[in-house]
Amino acid sequence: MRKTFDAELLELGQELTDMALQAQTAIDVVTNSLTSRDAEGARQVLEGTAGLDQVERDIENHCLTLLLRQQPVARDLRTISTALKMVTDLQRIGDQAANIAELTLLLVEQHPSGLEVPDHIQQMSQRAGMMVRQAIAAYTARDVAVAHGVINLDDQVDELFTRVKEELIERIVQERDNADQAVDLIIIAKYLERIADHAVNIANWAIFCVTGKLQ
Amino acid sequence: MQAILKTEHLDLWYGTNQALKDVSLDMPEHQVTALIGPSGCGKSTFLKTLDRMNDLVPGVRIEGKVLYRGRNIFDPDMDVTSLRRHVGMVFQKPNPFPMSIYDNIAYGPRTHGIRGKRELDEIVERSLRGAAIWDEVKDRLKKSALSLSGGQQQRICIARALAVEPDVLLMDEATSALDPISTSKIEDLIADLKKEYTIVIVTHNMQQATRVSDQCAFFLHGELVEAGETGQIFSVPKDKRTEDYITGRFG
Repeated sequence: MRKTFDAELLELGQELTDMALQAQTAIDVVTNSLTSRDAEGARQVLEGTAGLDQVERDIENHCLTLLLRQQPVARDLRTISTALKMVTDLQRIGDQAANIAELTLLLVEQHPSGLEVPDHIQQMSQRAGMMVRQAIAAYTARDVAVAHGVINLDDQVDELFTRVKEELIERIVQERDNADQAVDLIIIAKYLERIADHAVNIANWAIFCVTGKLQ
Repeated sequence: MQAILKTEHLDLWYGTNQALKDVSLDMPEHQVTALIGPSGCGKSTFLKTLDRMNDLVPGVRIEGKVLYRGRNIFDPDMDVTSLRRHVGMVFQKPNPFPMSIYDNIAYGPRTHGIRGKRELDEIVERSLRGAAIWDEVKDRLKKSALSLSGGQQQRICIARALAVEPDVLLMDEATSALDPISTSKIEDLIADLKKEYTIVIVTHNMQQATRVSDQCAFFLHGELVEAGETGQIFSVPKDKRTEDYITGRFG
Protein backbone atom coordinates (compact mmCIF):
# COMPACT_ATOMS: atom_id res chain seq x y z
CA MET A 1 0.00 0.00 0.00
CA ARG A 2 0.95 3.65 -0.69
CA LYS A 3 4.57 3.06 -1.74
CA THR A 4 4.69 6.22 -3.83
CA PHE A 5 3.48 8.50 -1.07
CA ASP A 6 5.89 7.01 1.47
CA ALA A 7 8.77 7.51 -0.95
CA GLU A 8 7.69 11.13 -1.50
CA LEU A 9 7.54 11.79 2.25
CA LEU A 10 11.00 10.29 2.65
CA GLU A 11 12.29 12.55 -0.11
CA LEU A 12 10.67 15.60 1.50
CA GLY A 13 12.32 14.72 4.82
CA GLN A 14 15.69 14.43 3.05
CA GLU A 15 15.25 17.83 1.34
CA LEU A 16 14.48 19.40 4.69
CA THR A 17 17.45 17.72 6.37
CA ASP A 18 19.76 18.93 3.59
CA MET A 19 18.48 22.48 3.97
CA ALA A 20 18.87 22.29 7.74
CA LEU A 21 22.46 21.10 7.28
CA GLN A 22 23.20 24.15 5.10
CA ALA A 23 21.69 26.47 7.72
CA GLN A 24 23.65 24.81 10.52
CA THR A 25 26.88 24.98 8.55
CA ALA A 26 26.26 28.67 7.88
CA ILE A 27 25.98 29.39 11.62
CA ASP A 28 29.12 27.39 12.44
CA VAL A 29 31.19 28.99 9.69
CA VAL A 30 30.00 32.52 10.39
CA THR A 31 30.75 32.16 14.12
CA ASN A 32 34.21 30.95 13.32
CA SER A 33 34.82 33.71 10.79
CA LEU A 34 33.75 36.37 13.30
CA THR A 35 35.94 35.15 16.15
CA SER A 36 38.96 34.48 13.94
CA ARG A 37 38.39 37.63 11.82
CA ASP A 38 38.26 35.44 8.71
CA ALA A 39 36.75 37.38 5.81
CA GLU A 40 36.95 34.33 3.54
CA GLY A 41 34.66 32.33 5.84
CA ALA A 42 32.14 35.17 5.87
CA ARG A 43 32.14 35.27 2.06
CA GLN A 44 31.55 31.52 1.94
CA VAL A 45 28.50 31.95 4.17
CA LEU A 46 27.10 34.67 1.92
CA GLU A 47 27.51 32.40 -1.10
CA GLY A 48 26.16 29.36 0.68
CA THR A 49 23.03 31.02 2.02
CA ALA A 50 22.18 32.76 -1.27
CA GLY A 51 20.70 29.50 -2.58
CA LEU A 52 18.49 28.89 0.45
CA ASP A 53 15.63 31.05 -0.88
CA GLN A 54 15.33 28.76 -3.88
CA VAL A 55 15.57 25.65 -1.69
CA GLU A 56 12.75 27.10 0.44
CA ARG A 57 10.58 27.61 -2.68
CA ASP A 58 11.33 24.09 -3.92
CA ILE A 59 10.36 22.50 -0.61
CA GLU A 60 7.21 24.64 -0.40
CA ASN A 61 6.24 23.53 -3.90
CA HIS A 62 6.89 19.93 -2.99
CA CYS A 63 4.65 20.28 0.09
CA LEU A 64 1.85 21.96 -1.88
CA THR A 65 2.00 19.25 -4.54
CA LEU A 66 1.76 16.55 -1.88
CA LEU A 67 -1.18 18.33 -0.23
CA LEU A 68 -2.93 18.53 -3.59
CA ARG A 69 -2.21 15.04 -4.86
CA GLN A 70 -2.30 12.98 -1.68
CA GLN A 71 -4.84 14.94 0.39
CA PRO A 72 -3.04 13.79 3.51
CA VAL A 73 -4.60 13.32 6.93
CA ALA A 74 -3.34 12.57 10.44
CA ARG A 75 0.43 11.97 10.72
CA ASP A 76 0.96 12.62 7.01
CA LEU A 77 -0.81 15.98 7.22
CA ARG A 78 1.22 16.92 10.29
CA THR A 79 4.49 15.90 8.59
CA ILE A 80 3.79 18.02 5.53
CA SER A 81 2.40 21.06 7.37
CA THR A 82 5.40 20.92 9.73
CA ALA A 83 7.76 20.89 6.75
CA LEU A 84 5.89 23.84 5.26
CA LYS A 85 6.34 25.86 8.45
CA MET A 86 9.88 24.73 9.32
CA VAL A 87 11.24 25.65 5.94
CA THR A 88 10.44 29.31 6.66
CA ASP A 89 12.38 29.20 9.94
CA LEU A 90 15.33 27.52 8.21
CA GLN A 91 15.35 30.16 5.51
CA ARG A 92 15.25 32.92 8.16
CA ILE A 93 18.14 31.27 9.99
CA GLY A 94 20.06 31.38 6.70
CA ASP A 95 19.16 35.08 6.37
CA GLN A 96 20.40 35.86 9.87
CA ALA A 97 23.65 33.98 9.23
CA ALA A 98 24.09 36.00 6.02
CA ASN A 99 23.44 39.23 7.93
CA ILE A 100 26.09 38.26 10.47
CA ALA A 101 28.47 37.43 7.62
CA GLU A 102 27.93 40.87 6.07
CA LEU A 103 28.62 42.61 9.37
CA THR A 104 31.65 40.39 9.92
CA LEU A 105 33.10 41.45 6.56
CA LEU A 106 32.50 45.07 7.48
CA LEU A 107 34.07 44.70 10.93
CA VAL A 108 37.12 42.82 9.62
CA GLU A 109 37.62 45.50 6.98
CA GLN A 110 37.19 48.40 9.40
CA HIS A 111 39.11 46.88 12.28
CA PRO A 112 41.78 44.62 10.78
CA SER A 113 43.61 44.23 14.06
CA GLY A 114 41.46 45.70 16.80
CA LEU A 115 38.28 43.60 16.57
CA GLU A 116 37.33 42.32 20.02
CA VAL A 117 34.46 39.87 20.03
CA PRO A 118 33.03 39.35 23.54
CA ASP A 119 33.24 35.76 24.81
CA HIS A 120 29.54 35.84 25.46
CA ILE A 121 28.83 36.32 21.74
CA GLN A 122 30.83 33.18 21.04
CA GLN A 123 28.84 31.37 23.70
CA MET A 124 25.58 32.68 22.23
CA SER A 125 26.65 31.49 18.83
CA GLN A 126 27.55 28.02 20.09
CA ARG A 127 24.27 27.71 21.97
CA ALA A 128 22.19 28.97 19.01
CA GLY A 129 23.99 26.59 16.64
CA MET A 130 23.42 23.70 19.03
CA MET A 131 19.74 24.62 19.39
CA VAL A 132 19.26 24.55 15.61
CA ARG A 133 21.05 21.18 15.37
CA GLN A 134 18.98 19.68 18.17
CA ALA A 135 15.71 21.13 16.89
CA ILE A 136 16.34 19.48 13.54
CA ALA A 137 17.35 16.25 15.28
CA ALA A 138 14.11 16.40 17.31
CA TYR A 139 12.13 16.71 14.09
CA THR A 140 14.02 13.97 12.27
CA ALA A 141 13.76 11.53 15.19
CA ARG A 142 10.25 12.71 16.15
CA ASP A 143 11.68 13.18 19.67
CA VAL A 144 9.53 15.40 21.88
CA ALA A 145 11.98 15.35 24.82
CA VAL A 146 14.83 16.71 22.68
CA ALA A 147 12.49 19.40 21.34
CA HIS A 148 11.59 20.47 24.88
CA GLY A 149 15.33 20.62 25.66
CA VAL A 150 15.77 23.12 22.81
CA ILE A 151 12.93 25.28 24.09
CA ASN A 152 14.50 25.32 27.57
CA LEU A 153 17.85 26.46 26.19
CA ASP A 154 16.33 29.65 24.86
CA ASP A 155 16.43 31.34 28.26
CA GLN A 156 20.22 30.87 28.37
CA VAL A 157 20.61 32.57 25.01
CA ASP A 158 18.36 35.43 26.10
CA GLU A 159 20.41 35.82 29.26
CA LEU A 160 23.66 35.85 27.29
CA PHE A 161 22.20 38.49 24.99
CA THR A 162 21.45 40.70 27.98
CA ARG A 163 25.04 40.27 29.20
CA VAL A 164 26.48 41.04 25.77
CA LYS A 165 24.40 44.20 25.63
CA GLU A 166 25.57 45.29 29.08
CA GLU A 167 29.22 44.65 28.23
CA LEU A 168 29.03 46.49 24.94
CA ILE A 169 27.15 49.43 26.41
CA GLU A 170 29.94 49.66 28.97
CA ARG A 171 32.48 49.51 26.15
CA ILE A 172 30.70 52.36 24.33
CA VAL A 173 30.85 54.44 27.49
CA GLN A 174 34.58 53.67 27.98
CA GLU A 175 35.76 53.88 24.35
CA ARG A 176 33.58 56.30 22.44
CA ASP A 177 35.83 56.09 19.38
CA ASN A 178 35.07 52.40 19.07
CA ALA A 179 31.29 52.77 19.54
CA ASP A 180 30.54 51.70 15.92
CA GLN A 181 32.18 48.33 16.44
CA ALA A 182 30.23 47.81 19.66
CA VAL A 183 26.90 48.65 18.01
CA ASP A 184 27.60 46.21 15.14
CA LEU A 185 28.44 43.52 17.68
CA ILE A 186 25.14 44.18 19.49
CA ILE A 187 23.33 43.73 16.18
CA ILE A 188 25.18 40.46 15.60
CA ALA A 189 24.15 39.31 19.08
CA LYS A 190 20.55 40.20 18.23
CA TYR A 191 20.75 38.09 15.07
CA LEU A 192 22.03 35.17 17.14
CA GLU A 193 19.19 35.65 19.59
CA ARG A 194 16.75 35.53 16.64
CA ILE A 195 18.40 32.34 15.34
CA ALA A 196 17.73 30.75 18.74
CA ASP A 197 14.08 31.87 18.48
CA HIS A 198 13.79 30.16 15.08
CA ALA A 199 15.28 27.01 16.62
CA VAL A 200 12.52 27.20 19.26
CA ASN A 201 9.92 27.49 16.48
CA ILE A 202 11.36 24.42 14.78
CA ALA A 203 11.29 22.55 18.10
CA ASN A 204 7.64 23.52 18.57
CA TRP A 205 6.83 22.24 15.09
CA ALA A 206 8.69 19.02 15.86
CA ILE A 207 6.43 18.60 18.90
CA PHE A 208 3.33 19.36 16.81
CA CYS A 209 4.43 16.78 14.26
CA VAL A 210 4.30 14.09 16.95
CA THR A 211 1.45 15.23 19.19
CA GLY A 212 -0.76 17.37 16.93
CA LYS A 213 -0.68 20.05 19.62
CA LEU A 214 0.56 23.56 18.99
CA GLN A 215 2.37 25.26 21.85
CA MET B 1 -25.56 17.32 22.79
CA GLN B 2 -28.32 14.79 23.28
CA ALA B 3 -28.07 11.55 21.36
CA ILE B 4 -31.30 10.97 19.45
CA LEU B 5 -30.05 7.58 18.38
CA LYS B 6 -27.63 5.37 20.24
CA THR B 7 -26.51 1.78 20.36
CA GLU B 8 -25.53 -0.10 23.49
CA HIS B 9 -23.42 -3.25 23.28
CA LEU B 10 -24.81 -4.11 19.88
CA ASP B 11 -23.86 -7.56 18.55
CA LEU B 12 -25.03 -8.95 15.24
CA TRP B 13 -24.48 -12.34 13.67
CA TYR B 14 -25.19 -13.51 10.13
CA GLY B 15 -25.44 -17.21 10.95
CA THR B 16 -22.18 -18.00 12.73
CA ASN B 17 -20.39 -14.95 11.38
CA GLN B 18 -20.34 -12.08 13.86
CA ALA B 19 -20.62 -8.85 11.87
CA LEU B 20 -20.94 -6.40 14.78
CA LYS B 21 -19.13 -6.80 18.10
CA ASP B 22 -20.26 -4.91 21.18
CA VAL B 23 -20.79 -1.60 19.39
CA SER B 24 -21.84 1.33 21.59
CA LEU B 25 -22.16 4.64 19.78
CA ASP B 26 -24.10 7.86 20.38
CA MET B 27 -25.40 9.75 17.37
CA PRO B 28 -26.10 13.28 18.62
CA GLU B 29 -29.07 15.30 17.41
CA HIS B 30 -28.48 17.70 14.47
CA GLN B 31 -25.06 16.32 13.82
CA VAL B 32 -23.62 14.32 10.96
CA THR B 33 -22.02 11.06 12.06
CA ALA B 34 -19.81 9.41 9.44
CA LEU B 35 -19.15 5.67 9.62
CA ILE B 36 -15.85 4.74 8.00
CA GLY B 37 -13.83 1.57 7.63
CA PRO B 38 -12.69 -0.95 5.01
CA SER B 39 -15.16 -3.10 3.07
CA GLY B 40 -16.70 -5.76 5.25
CA CYS B 41 -15.96 -3.92 8.51
CA GLY B 42 -19.62 -3.79 9.52
CA LYS B 43 -20.42 -0.14 8.93
CA SER B 44 -23.25 -0.78 6.45
CA THR B 45 -24.61 -3.57 8.64
CA PHE B 46 -24.55 -1.12 11.54
CA LEU B 47 -26.39 1.52 9.48
CA LYS B 48 -29.05 -0.96 8.34
CA THR B 49 -29.56 -2.13 11.89
CA LEU B 50 -30.51 1.42 12.92
CA ASP B 51 -33.84 1.13 11.10
CA ARG B 52 -34.15 -2.65 11.33
CA MET B 53 -33.47 -3.33 7.67
CA ASN B 54 -31.56 -6.45 8.69
CA ASP B 55 -34.64 -8.05 10.25
CA LEU B 56 -35.47 -10.04 7.15
CA VAL B 57 -31.97 -11.30 6.42
CA PRO B 58 -32.08 -15.09 6.96
CA GLY B 59 -30.08 -16.28 9.96
CA VAL B 60 -29.55 -12.83 11.43
CA ARG B 61 -29.33 -12.57 15.22
CA ILE B 62 -29.06 -9.32 17.11
CA GLU B 63 -28.20 -8.67 20.75
CA GLY B 64 -27.82 -5.40 22.61
CA LYS B 65 -29.86 -2.28 22.10
CA VAL B 66 -30.56 0.39 19.52
CA LEU B 67 -32.25 3.28 21.29
CA TYR B 68 -34.25 5.78 19.27
CA ARG B 69 -35.29 8.65 21.56
CA GLY B 70 -34.58 6.37 24.50
CA ARG B 71 -36.68 3.47 23.28
CA ASN B 72 -35.21 0.16 22.16
CA ILE B 73 -36.22 -0.38 18.53
CA PHE B 74 -36.14 -4.14 19.09
CA ASP B 75 -38.90 -3.99 21.73
CA PRO B 76 -41.64 -6.44 20.71
CA ASP B 77 -44.26 -3.67 20.56
CA MET B 78 -42.12 -1.44 18.34
CA ASP B 79 -43.95 -0.63 15.09
CA VAL B 80 -41.31 -1.02 12.37
CA THR B 81 -43.26 1.07 9.84
CA SER B 82 -43.47 3.89 12.33
CA LEU B 83 -39.75 3.53 13.11
CA ARG B 84 -38.90 3.86 9.42
CA ARG B 85 -41.05 6.95 9.18
CA HIS B 86 -38.78 8.53 11.78
CA VAL B 87 -35.55 7.00 10.55
CA GLY B 88 -35.26 7.28 6.76
CA MET B 89 -32.71 5.63 4.49
CA VAL B 90 -31.02 6.72 1.27
CA PHE B 91 -29.08 4.06 -0.61
CA GLN B 92 -25.88 3.97 -2.59
CA LYS B 93 -27.51 3.65 -5.98
CA PRO B 94 -30.31 6.10 -6.69
CA ASN B 95 -33.47 3.96 -6.66
CA PRO B 96 -36.45 6.12 -7.57
CA PHE B 97 -39.69 4.20 -8.12
CA PRO B 98 -40.65 3.79 -11.80
CA MET B 99 -43.32 6.46 -11.54
CA SER B 100 -43.56 10.24 -11.81
CA ILE B 101 -41.41 12.58 -9.74
CA TYR B 102 -44.55 13.71 -7.93
CA ASP B 103 -45.69 10.18 -7.12
CA ASN B 104 -42.23 9.21 -5.88
CA ILE B 105 -42.43 11.90 -3.21
CA ALA B 106 -46.15 11.43 -2.46
CA TYR B 107 -45.73 7.67 -2.10
CA GLY B 108 -44.69 7.67 1.57
CA PRO B 109 -47.26 10.23 2.79
CA ARG B 110 -50.00 8.33 0.91
CA THR B 111 -48.92 5.12 2.61
CA HIS B 112 -49.37 6.93 5.89
CA GLY B 113 -52.92 7.88 4.95
CA ILE B 114 -52.57 11.37 3.52
CA ARG B 115 -54.92 11.71 0.53
CA GLY B 116 -55.78 15.42 0.13
CA LYS B 117 -54.32 16.87 -3.07
CA ARG B 118 -53.45 20.24 -1.57
CA GLU B 119 -51.70 18.64 1.38
CA LEU B 120 -49.78 16.28 -0.89
CA ASP B 121 -48.84 19.19 -3.18
CA GLU B 122 -47.42 21.00 -0.19
CA ILE B 123 -45.48 17.98 1.01
CA VAL B 124 -44.07 17.35 -2.47
CA GLU B 125 -42.91 20.95 -2.86
CA ARG B 126 -41.50 21.17 0.65
CA SER B 127 -39.62 17.87 0.28
CA LEU B 128 -38.21 18.74 -3.15
CA ARG B 129 -37.13 22.13 -1.86
CA GLY B 130 -35.59 20.43 1.18
CA ALA B 131 -33.58 18.19 -1.13
CA ALA B 132 -32.47 21.20 -3.21
CA ILE B 133 -34.02 19.95 -6.44
CA TRP B 134 -37.33 21.84 -6.62
CA ASP B 135 -36.10 24.43 -9.12
CA GLU B 136 -34.78 21.73 -11.41
CA VAL B 137 -37.97 19.65 -11.54
CA LYS B 138 -40.91 21.93 -10.67
CA ASP B 139 -42.01 22.16 -14.33
CA ARG B 140 -41.95 18.43 -14.95
CA LEU B 141 -43.38 16.82 -11.84
CA LYS B 142 -45.44 14.44 -13.94
CA LYS B 143 -42.40 13.16 -15.81
CA SER B 144 -40.86 9.85 -14.84
CA ALA B 145 -38.23 10.12 -12.11
CA LEU B 146 -36.16 7.68 -14.16
CA SER B 147 -35.68 10.37 -16.82
CA LEU B 148 -33.51 12.40 -14.45
CA SER B 149 -29.71 12.27 -14.12
CA GLY B 150 -28.10 10.13 -11.39
CA GLY B 151 -27.44 13.12 -9.15
CA GLN B 152 -31.01 14.36 -9.58
CA GLN B 153 -32.40 10.88 -8.94
CA GLN B 154 -30.43 10.69 -5.71
CA ARG B 155 -31.86 14.03 -4.57
CA ILE B 156 -35.35 12.71 -5.47
CA CYS B 157 -34.61 9.77 -3.17
CA ILE B 158 -33.58 12.19 -0.43
CA ALA B 159 -36.79 14.20 -1.03
CA ARG B 160 -38.75 10.96 -0.85
CA ALA B 161 -37.14 10.21 2.51
CA LEU B 162 -37.89 13.75 3.74
CA ALA B 163 -41.55 13.56 2.68
CA VAL B 164 -42.52 11.48 5.71
CA GLU B 165 -40.84 14.01 8.02
CA PRO B 166 -38.22 11.80 9.64
CA ASP B 167 -35.89 12.84 12.46
CA VAL B 168 -32.96 10.82 11.24
CA LEU B 169 -31.58 10.26 7.76
CA LEU B 170 -29.33 7.28 7.11
CA MET B 171 -27.24 7.47 3.96
CA ASP B 172 -25.34 4.44 2.67
CA GLU B 173 -22.58 5.71 0.37
CA ALA B 174 -25.16 8.05 -1.12
CA THR B 175 -22.71 9.82 -3.44
CA SER B 176 -20.39 7.02 -4.50
CA ALA B 177 -22.21 6.59 -7.82
CA LEU B 178 -22.31 10.32 -8.57
CA ASP B 179 -20.03 12.75 -10.43
CA PRO B 180 -18.15 15.46 -8.47
CA ILE B 181 -20.75 18.19 -9.13
CA SER B 182 -23.67 16.03 -7.99
CA THR B 183 -21.58 14.89 -5.04
CA SER B 184 -20.90 18.49 -4.09
CA LYS B 185 -24.64 19.28 -4.28
CA ILE B 186 -25.48 16.37 -1.98
CA GLU B 187 -22.73 17.40 0.44
CA ASP B 188 -24.08 20.96 0.56
CA LEU B 189 -27.49 19.45 1.10
CA ILE B 190 -26.23 17.38 4.03
CA ALA B 191 -24.86 20.55 5.64
CA ASP B 192 -28.30 22.21 5.26
CA LEU B 193 -30.30 19.16 6.32
CA LYS B 194 -28.48 18.70 9.60
CA LYS B 195 -30.14 21.86 10.92
CA GLU B 196 -33.39 19.89 10.98
CA TYR B 197 -32.33 16.28 10.89
CA THR B 198 -29.79 13.99 12.44
CA ILE B 199 -27.71 12.33 9.76
CA VAL B 200 -25.67 9.15 9.73
CA ILE B 201 -23.63 8.41 6.61
CA VAL B 202 -21.49 5.52 5.47
CA THR B 203 -18.70 6.65 3.19
CA HIS B 204 -15.54 5.23 1.64
CA ASN B 205 -14.44 8.73 0.76
CA MET B 206 -12.23 10.04 3.56
CA GLN B 207 -12.27 13.58 2.20
CA GLN B 208 -16.06 13.48 2.19
CA ALA B 209 -16.13 12.32 5.80
CA THR B 210 -13.79 15.20 6.67
CA ARG B 211 -15.92 17.71 4.78
CA VAL B 212 -19.41 16.80 5.94
CA SER B 213 -19.30 15.04 9.29
CA ASP B 214 -19.18 16.35 12.85
CA GLN B 215 -18.20 13.05 14.37
CA CYS B 216 -16.61 10.04 12.82
CA ALA B 217 -16.70 6.39 13.83
CA PHE B 218 -14.09 3.94 12.56
CA PHE B 219 -15.12 0.29 12.25
CA LEU B 220 -12.81 -2.67 11.73
CA HIS B 221 -13.74 -6.37 11.68
CA GLY B 222 -17.13 -5.55 13.23
CA GLU B 223 -15.66 -3.55 16.10
CA LEU B 224 -15.98 0.15 16.71
CA VAL B 225 -12.30 1.00 17.05
CA GLU B 226 -12.62 4.72 17.65
CA ALA B 227 -15.28 7.42 17.54
CA GLY B 228 -14.70 11.11 18.04
CA GLU B 229 -14.92 14.60 16.69
CA THR B 230 -14.04 14.50 12.98
CA GLY B 231 -11.22 17.05 13.26
CA GLN B 232 -9.58 14.98 15.95
CA ILE B 233 -10.00 11.66 14.10
CA PHE B 234 -8.39 13.04 10.94
CA SER B 235 -5.63 15.02 12.63
CA VAL B 236 -4.65 13.08 15.75
CA PRO B 237 -6.43 9.72 15.83
CA LYS B 238 -5.97 7.93 19.13
CA ASP B 239 -5.78 4.37 17.81
CA LYS B 240 -2.98 3.24 15.52
CA ARG B 241 -5.45 1.17 13.47
CA THR B 242 -7.47 4.32 12.74
CA GLU B 243 -4.32 6.17 11.71
CA ASP B 244 -3.22 3.30 9.46
CA TYR B 245 -6.64 3.13 7.78
CA ILE B 246 -7.21 6.84 7.13
CA THR B 247 -3.68 7.31 5.84
CA GLY B 248 -4.16 4.43 3.42
CA ARG B 249 -1.72 2.01 5.02
CA PHE B 250 -4.32 -0.74 4.73
CA GLY B 251 -7.92 -1.20 3.67
